[in-house]
Amino acid sequence: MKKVKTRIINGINKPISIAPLVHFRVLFGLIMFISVARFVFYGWIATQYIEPEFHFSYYGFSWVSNPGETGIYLLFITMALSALGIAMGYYYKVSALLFFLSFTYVELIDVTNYLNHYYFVSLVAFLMLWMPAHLAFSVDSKRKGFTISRIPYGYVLAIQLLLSLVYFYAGLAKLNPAWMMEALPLKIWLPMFSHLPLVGAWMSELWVAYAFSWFGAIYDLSIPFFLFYSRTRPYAYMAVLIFHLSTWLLFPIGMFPFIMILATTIFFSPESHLKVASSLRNIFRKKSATAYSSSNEPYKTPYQKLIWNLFAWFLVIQLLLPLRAYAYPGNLFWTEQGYRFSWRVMLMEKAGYAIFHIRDKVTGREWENYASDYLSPMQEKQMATQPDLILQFAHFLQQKLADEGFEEVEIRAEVYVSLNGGMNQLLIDSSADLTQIEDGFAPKTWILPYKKSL
Amino acid sequence: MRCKSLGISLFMVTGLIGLLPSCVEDSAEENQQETSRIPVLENLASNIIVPGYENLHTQISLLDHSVKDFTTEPNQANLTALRTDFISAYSQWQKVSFLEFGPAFSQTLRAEFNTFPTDNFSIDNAIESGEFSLTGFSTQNRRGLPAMDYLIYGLADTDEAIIEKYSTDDNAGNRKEYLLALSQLILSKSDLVYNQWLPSGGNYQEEFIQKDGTDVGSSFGEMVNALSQYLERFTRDARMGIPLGKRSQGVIIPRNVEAYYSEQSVPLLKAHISGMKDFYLGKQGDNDGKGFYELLQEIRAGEDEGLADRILAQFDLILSRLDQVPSPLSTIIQTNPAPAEAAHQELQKQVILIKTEFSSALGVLITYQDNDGD
Repeated sequence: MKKVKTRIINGINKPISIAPLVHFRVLFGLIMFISVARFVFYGWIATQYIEPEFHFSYYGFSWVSNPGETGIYLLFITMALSALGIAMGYYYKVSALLFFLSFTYVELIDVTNYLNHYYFVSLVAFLMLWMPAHLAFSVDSKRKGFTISRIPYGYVLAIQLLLSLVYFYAGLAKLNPAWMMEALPLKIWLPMFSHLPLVGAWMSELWVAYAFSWFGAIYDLSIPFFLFYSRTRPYAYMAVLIFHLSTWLLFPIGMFPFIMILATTIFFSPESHLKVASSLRNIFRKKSATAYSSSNEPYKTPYQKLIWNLFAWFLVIQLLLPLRAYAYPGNLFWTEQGYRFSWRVMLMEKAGYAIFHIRDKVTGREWENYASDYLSPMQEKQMATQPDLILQFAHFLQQKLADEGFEEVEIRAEVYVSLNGGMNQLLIDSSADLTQIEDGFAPKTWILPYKKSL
Repeated sequence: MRCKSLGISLFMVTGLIGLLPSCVEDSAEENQQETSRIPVLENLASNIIVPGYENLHTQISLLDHSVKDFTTEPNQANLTALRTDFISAYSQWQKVSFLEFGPAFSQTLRAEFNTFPTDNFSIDNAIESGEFSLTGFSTQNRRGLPAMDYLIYGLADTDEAIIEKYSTDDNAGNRKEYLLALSQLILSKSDLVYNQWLPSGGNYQEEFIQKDGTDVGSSFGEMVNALSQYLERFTRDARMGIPLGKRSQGVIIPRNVEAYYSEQSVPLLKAHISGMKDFYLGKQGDNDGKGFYELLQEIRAGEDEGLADRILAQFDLILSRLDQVPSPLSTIIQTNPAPAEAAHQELQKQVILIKTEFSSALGVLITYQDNDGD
């Protein structure tokens, strides 16, 4: 046992070239800058952060408020500049901190904008705070005339493990009867591409939906191992390219494929990174063969043990967090209790419609309210399928009605949801007065059980 | 060694994929997903939408003709003829009103044709002052068919008194001018939209058929979004829910029914639902081609939940509930709202079907925003 521990510690502290980490820093900074620019370019700041009257907050983060038009633009400017700062290694630690804070803050404003890959970016940005990624090939190192060529392997390993967790849990989540045995929801989604040239004809074939489902699950579960193992790595990376590029072609998933394609380069050996670096330098006709001189001492910090502990706890939390879903009763896809932060991606087709019934206790009058009067189409779509968001919206309505002079109201929600194209059914107890219910971590007893249709 | 391990993994992956078709062959046969959206688009364009606009254009031309006859010679015969043409035109409008995409969307046809309740006080004031500009967003509730509804049914209690408003009344001249202007406006709008669809005009028909995807800008994306939004806001709410007080803290607003003055609310709503049903079926008269109904059947074959038929049955249920609603709707809401409430309930059920299962089955997107990745 002790022997294993020493071996692990030795492995973590073993000096390797800084090149993989530096390249990761540059690629991460650049792709983040592009992502932010793209977000701004599409005008999503307005549609997601300025126009909506109401924002859904994360449980425990209701103190995160929308900073208003000027504030949100400042946050995005900070995000863009600090992403560039990360890429160039310019005041790196400050840039990394600013990027982590601004990005995470913006994500926390509205749950309906939640995407697993945004969460992934926040996590990576957090890890980057503690990385000595600016000690070579950076403005900082040039400025200080100080370059480090070797770092302990643990830094690179932390990112590799996080990536592995993401893939593995994404794969594990696919091992459910609907995905594996019924090819759902791909069976619903793929025929939408039957108008495409060449591949179009295949997209309506049922076996293609099954092949995609199974390949996706096997890919996610196995790719971390194949990337770690040096002999399979080149082929595994080919698979990474094929997989992510095909999902990018088929689904509107934004920058995620590119983030993963670039991030997984961290699995390549330091030697490969150095080789690529020197050939790139040849192209740009730099005189020295490499930016990574190998003469000086490996990176040392008095806080090394503390950082390893931090990384270890970080990874343990990441390992445990997705498992919380199993503590809740019922069908996870239906209740979505413990669904977020667990790398459950593209697993279901879900559409809902919510009717809010208001009853004024003073006059006994009854009427209806619809989310479309207050929410953006995107917010409405997300809200109508997720019980915790329905509850938040009901409380927002209660506040709204109180402002209009209706102090004593009952609010009930009649919410119909279709899961994976099945017959719609009531999601929550339509007789429950939502003004009397508070959100929490306890199982939501007012969610109705999912009845499998035929 | 390297080749061996790689070979095994490759073999496993291809083997599994290779095995799959044979495992699922049985269900594959009943699951023939021969999705063909283009024939649906072709049928909807050439047999439903374009003839629908053509018919509207014809009816509005006839209406404009009767308006001219009536204003030249305001008498009972001309008023009766005008009203007949008005109801025909209004009924035909119901059948194309929900096509809020393409030219109709860019020309804001719905707002031009059918913004109700109409602002009768402002119309009176405009006629009295003789200064009426009928352009711009702010005057939408002073023009279109609801304004005409007021001007040919609502000016007085008797026909004689209404005819007097156009003959002996002090403002008869202005009133005629106002009516003529209204008629001219909707005529030119219907002409514009119709021509933009025609191959000899803007040929939107071709663009409509070419955009055969399901993404946001595609014809299916636009149709499904338009249909579900229209059904929710303008069919269920504007025509039923709002008068019933569903959107006003339970206080009924009988005056907000469609066609308040002519009391045609229920027949018009029936024409509207029939029009939507025919559009769903891809049917025009006896000519029943491919529509959403057939597409759903193709996509959902084998799922055995009968979504295509359930939506169709829901249209029929709405129509039969509407048969139970006596006219005029504005009075029924006050005296005996139960049948109207029942019709509203069924409209609500259709909204749910369209917004959940229908949208899911067709897989259309509502925004350009990123989805969760893989």
